[in-house]
Amino acid sequence: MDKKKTEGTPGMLTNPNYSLSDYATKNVKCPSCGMFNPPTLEKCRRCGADVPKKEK
Amino acid sequence: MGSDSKKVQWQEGDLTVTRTCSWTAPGCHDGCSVLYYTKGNELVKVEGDPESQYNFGRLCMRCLSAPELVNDPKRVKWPMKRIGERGENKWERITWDAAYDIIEEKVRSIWKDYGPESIVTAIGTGRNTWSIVPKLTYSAFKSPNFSMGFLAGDSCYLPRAAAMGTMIGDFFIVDASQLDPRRYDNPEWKLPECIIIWGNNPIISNGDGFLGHWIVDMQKRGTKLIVVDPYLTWFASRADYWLQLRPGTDAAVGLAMLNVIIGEELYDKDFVKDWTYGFEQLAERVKEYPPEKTEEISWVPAEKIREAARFFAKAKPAAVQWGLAIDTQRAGVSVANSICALIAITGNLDVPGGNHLIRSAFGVDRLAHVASDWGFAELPEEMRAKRLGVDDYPLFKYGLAATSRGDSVLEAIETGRPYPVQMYWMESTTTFVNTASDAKRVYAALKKVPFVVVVDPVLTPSAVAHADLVLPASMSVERDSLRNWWTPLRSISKVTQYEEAKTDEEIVLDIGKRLNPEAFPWDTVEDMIDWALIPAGVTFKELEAKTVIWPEVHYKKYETGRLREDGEPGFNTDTGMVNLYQDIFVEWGLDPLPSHMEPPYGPASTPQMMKEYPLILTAGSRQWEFFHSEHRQSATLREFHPNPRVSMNPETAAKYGIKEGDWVWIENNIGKCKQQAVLDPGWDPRVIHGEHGWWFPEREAAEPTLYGAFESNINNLTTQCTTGPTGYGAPLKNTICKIYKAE
Repeated sequence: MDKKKTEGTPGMLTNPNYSLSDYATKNVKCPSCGMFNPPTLEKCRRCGADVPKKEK
Repeated sequence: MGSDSKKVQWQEGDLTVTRTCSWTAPGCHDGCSVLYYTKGNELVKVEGDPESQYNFGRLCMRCLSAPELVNDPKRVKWPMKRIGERGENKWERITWDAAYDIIEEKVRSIWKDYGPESIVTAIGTGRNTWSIVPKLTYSAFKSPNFSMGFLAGDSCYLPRAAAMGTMIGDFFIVDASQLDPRRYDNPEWKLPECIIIWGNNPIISNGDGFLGHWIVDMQKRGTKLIVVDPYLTWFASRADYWLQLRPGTDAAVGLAMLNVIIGEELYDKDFVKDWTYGFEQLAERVKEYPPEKTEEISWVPAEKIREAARFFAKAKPAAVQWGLAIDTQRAGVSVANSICALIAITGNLDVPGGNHLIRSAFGVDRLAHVASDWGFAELPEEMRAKRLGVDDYPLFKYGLAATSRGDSVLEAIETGRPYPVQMYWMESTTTFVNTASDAKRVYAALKKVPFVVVVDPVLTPSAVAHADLVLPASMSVERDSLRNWWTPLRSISKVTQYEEAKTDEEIVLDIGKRLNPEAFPWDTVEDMIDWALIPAGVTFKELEAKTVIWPEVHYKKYETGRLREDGEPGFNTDTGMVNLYQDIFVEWGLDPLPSHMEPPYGPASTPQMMKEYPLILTAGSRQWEFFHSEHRQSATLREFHPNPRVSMNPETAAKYGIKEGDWVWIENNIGKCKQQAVLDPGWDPRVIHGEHGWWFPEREAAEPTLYGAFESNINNLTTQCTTGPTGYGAPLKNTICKIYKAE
């Protein structure tokens, strides 16, 4: 993770004060369409492609 | 990084001239560059800095009149303790140490007997109370309850912030070239072909680091306007399209514009394909809002909606400048969602001349920005969970500011549930005069709170009615601080001192060091400012020497990984996409798509009441002379605007036998108030407008007069606790009334 690449303040969803940060940082990227999905899903909600398991 | 390296202080005869930045109080939401002319300890004159790349020497009449307010001998000069009954306006001068002793003793007693959560703090808008009072609340008082006063539905920016957060993951502003000191000559910047001004009159309100005159600059260069507003504003009179809607129907208009843009395939197909989630669901939803149906709801002609939608969609680039009217309706989040969708699917997010995704310059947000969570994370989890209002409204709990919900604070005071409120701290807020709707209800509730502290430059009706202690706050000219909402980063320099007044930062640091010194490790305010400036790599003195510094600008950050903490391309949302459909709303039991919702009172919701209250009442538009309830002390500004005004179409006035200048009662099922008639054909004959924030500092302070705070108070007619399902947004600008001439 290259934090220097992000601009200015932490984004709203990565604000550690709020549980929404979990959504932005824990979801898994679909290799087909690029959308992030909850780690519990096997298929992408957007394009239906297989979503890899997130490495622990 | 750009910077201004001009002379910051010099002599002109017997006057010292200081180049700096102004903020409130008295003030606004902006932060213009100014030249302060002082003679000894007296502010003599204020001018706009002609070398500024922010305001280009411009300055509004409020700031030009600042010396009158700064030097007002009726300001609060020193800490005062109440010695009579509340409302009697009887005070005893005490020292700062004595005041702090009282506060410390009360806080420690409440901690022991009731718990820290029984302490609630409240702020008005503007001024850096937005970042320092949360620190006072969370770190000094150890309470989770920092609030925007009793502002129903937190209806000031937070509904829009919530929508932006869950849909886009970042705030946006119109890119008017203000991101780079070369301004309109920056070769990377593009002039917007079209700007929609939606529920906003930016040349008066100048909201959140956005100078309204930048739009005038762009108009002169060729930008065309669409204005969505119930009133013929200055901009509306110069727009290519003016959509004069019924107040409170904005979502229907937004959804109808989406209906046209999607139905006629005028959207940016590449952006939608690559960067959005839920387009198909949105496309289905907007089919429910054909322009003809929206015309019935909003009164805007269907063909005008179609033409405006096409004009906006075909303009490249285009942007939306929005305002408080979005927030002040039950469907505030939905309205904002529909506007976010308009910007996104037309490919105008984060492109030059579009809606720029913006964060604080250099990451400096403490002391400078809407950092309403400063210290919240350090509270124990069980204390964070006690924040008032979050259990019933998940968007409050998980959303984008750590505020307690104003309506829920009111209910806690009234009922003692879920716990009693034992202490209420008001920092520059006039509650029932301005922010709070249902003014008399809030006035009565505050009488029940055992200990109330008011921090303000002037003795307000709230202070007289409720305060046990009044602490004198410094004005902008008397403060060292920062301005950084959003960019550039600017210093605020102290040039005068008023009696014993202290800055918000000084007061919070003093109290914090008494109650929780570990959380306030700074010896001085300047130490605290230096700490806040660490991300920018400058000290306060170094910033002051430059007055302004500009960060680098990047466009289309979603393509380059500059938005997400994981460095991946995408938006900073749960999906990495712009969420046109929001799964998270489903989890919270909310509609995942935008929709129209009628105001609680109106021709569609309560047709049976329209016979008695036949007019739509909108309220709270900004005035040139005043910032909300401020500035009523200024003789100059009152000469321009001596009395509160109710505006109406001449046809409406004739119908009710009212002439220009008549005093008029505005009345509905909640209450009534009296204002002076202005006949203005810019209003629809079915709609009238009442002004907000009125009190009369020249009148008797003690109750029952209370500076005339209830006489012309438009919040005698508005409601608390009538928010929509998200908890954000309340119908403050869209209710009903009747009018009749006052005897």
